[in-house]
Amino acid sequence: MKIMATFFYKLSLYHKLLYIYNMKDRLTNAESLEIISNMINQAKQQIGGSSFQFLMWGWVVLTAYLGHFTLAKIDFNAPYVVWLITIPAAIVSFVYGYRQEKDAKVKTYTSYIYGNTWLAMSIPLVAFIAFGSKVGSHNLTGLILLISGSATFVSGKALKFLPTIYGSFIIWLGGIFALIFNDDNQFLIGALAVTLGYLVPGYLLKMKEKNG
Amino acid sequence: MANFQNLDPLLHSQLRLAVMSILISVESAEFVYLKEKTGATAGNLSVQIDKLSNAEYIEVTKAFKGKKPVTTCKITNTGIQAFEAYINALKSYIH
Repeated sequence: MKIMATFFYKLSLYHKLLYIYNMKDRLTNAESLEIISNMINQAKQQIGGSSFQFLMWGWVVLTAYLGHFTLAKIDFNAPYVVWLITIPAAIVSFVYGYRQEKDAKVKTYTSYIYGNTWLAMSIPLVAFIAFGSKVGSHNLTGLILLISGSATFVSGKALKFLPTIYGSFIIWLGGIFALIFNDDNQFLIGALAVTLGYLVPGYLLKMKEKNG
Repeated sequence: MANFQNLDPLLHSQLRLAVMSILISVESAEFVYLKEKTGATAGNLSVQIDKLSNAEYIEVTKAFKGKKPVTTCKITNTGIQAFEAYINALKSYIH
């Protein structure tokens, strides 16, 4: 009985060793793990092009806030016309995003989440602007900043980029202050929030994209 | 004694494992992207992609971008399960 047990034990051990020996010809476990981690890291580094949208919208919205503030101060009767610059900006943004997706050699979950978050946020943004009189035009800056802050937060998390995540906190804070001080100064608050929460992280992201 | 699990021979190959590791991290990837990231030759990569596709670990789509033919690869649910099983088998060797 004992001889049989020893025999079967040795046989199973032999098979295991034979299996490991055969596998060793192909890949060691350490090599397998190295390949997996290297390739996953390579695929993770796909954040190219995101900074363009942040920078373009940052400059457009900053111009609009400062323009609105200036026109309001000189008693121009329709200072909000300056926001019309967001229409060509939206077209450029859409065309750029469409081309980037069409030309991309790889589709990442990051770009999927990033694109759809802004698409989802654009619906309440457009609705607030369209029904500005119902919401109260003096509340628009605050509400738009709060929604933009949420989209920026999700983008920052998806990109795993800390400056953008911190930027979203600044934009949220700007939104709250704009609701509190909802006179003409809200446009200066908006300009400051966009500069610190959008443009600064946008340029840092651009630097990261360049350096790979 | 450690309980050794069999390593999937289809995944236990340098190039096929590299392709599957990339595809598990992204939604889909074109052939040229996989070639660039793995550093493989087009011929070898094509053969390995066929093997993974025949095992239904990946889904291969051929289309045109303008006049240029484009091959896109995407991991399937079977591929995800096989990859997870491979990782678990590797773990059993390590622990």
